[in-house]
Amino acid sequence: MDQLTEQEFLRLIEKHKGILHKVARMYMDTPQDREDLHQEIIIQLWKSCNSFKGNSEFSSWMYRVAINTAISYFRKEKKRNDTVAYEQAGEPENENYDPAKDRQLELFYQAVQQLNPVEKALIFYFMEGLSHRETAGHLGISEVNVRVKLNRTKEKLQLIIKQSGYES
Amino acid sequence: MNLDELKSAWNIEKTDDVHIPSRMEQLRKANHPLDKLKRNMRNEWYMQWLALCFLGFVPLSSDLHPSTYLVYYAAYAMSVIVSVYYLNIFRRFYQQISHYTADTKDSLTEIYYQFRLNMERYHSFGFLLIPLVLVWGGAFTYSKLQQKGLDFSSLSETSKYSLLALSIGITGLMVWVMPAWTRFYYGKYTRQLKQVLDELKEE
Repeated sequence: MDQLTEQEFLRLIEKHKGILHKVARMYMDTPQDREDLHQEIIIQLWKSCNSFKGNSEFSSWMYRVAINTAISYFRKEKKRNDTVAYEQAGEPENENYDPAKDRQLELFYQAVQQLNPVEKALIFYFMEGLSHRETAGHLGISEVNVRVKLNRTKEKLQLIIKQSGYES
Repeated sequence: MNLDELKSAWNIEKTDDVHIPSRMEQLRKANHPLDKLKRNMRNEWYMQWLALCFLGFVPLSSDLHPSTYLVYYAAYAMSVIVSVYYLNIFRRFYQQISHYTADTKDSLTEIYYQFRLNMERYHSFGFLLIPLVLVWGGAFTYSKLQQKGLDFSSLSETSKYSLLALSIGITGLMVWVMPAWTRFYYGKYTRQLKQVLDELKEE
């Protein structure tokens, strides 16, 4: 496949911008940091563009670059409140959304902030519906390791959510 | 919370907080730690060349006796030849280090070990300056003695031991400063990378 032109590239990014949104929400806890990460991922995707050969789905290639960028985009240490309170969860942004599900999603994102970068990647791929094999391919670890780590991460996440006072 | 059920909300989430530019030039410059480090390295590369040029004029500015020029410039030539080798490696390194298209573990492992290797190269490059500094120190002392019509043989035992202690002190200082320099600029990032790599280890 020929190298993508700038406009083709930006069209594809627009089509798959949900990946940017979700990765940034998982890895950054403030809107400013998320915006910075969106930009950084787009820049890194553009710089790595010649490695996209078209043999795989654009979204699959984008997952990898986005997650690798987010994982290694270490922010300066800053003080923040790591406790998650169910009462603090934001209001749904869109009335068309299922309010209960939206509230759960908000709480989920807050809880995810307490996971480490690799755990966040595992949960991200799980939520995107990737199989253990696909996740293993993206992370470069074995399927068994993905299964073990994912189960452990889900348990950790549930515990964080439970400690926040949420009850299903 | 049932994460499988939450996937339906996840899949239809709003994404209007993401602004895709109409042209890439509308984005600010890359701000990733790796890109910042690459910019640092590029600046350091220019500074190292400037410092090397500056060292070529040291005999003239530090009033060395002309008879010491040969010794100084022999040491200088050796430093320049080895520096060219190192500076070329540094240049290739910051041009080559890129990231993110391989799987996560491979990408991070490559970046991590490239950085560790480069930190060691920095140390070696710094240590390369030690003989030049010592040669300059010897030539400078000799020049001062010559101005008084003396030479090294006229130094007292105490002065000789003091010079020896000073040489060892300078060498020790350089050996301490170079790793401290690389730890300050690159240590934090490599430690963070190592932490993520440890997380990816098989269980």
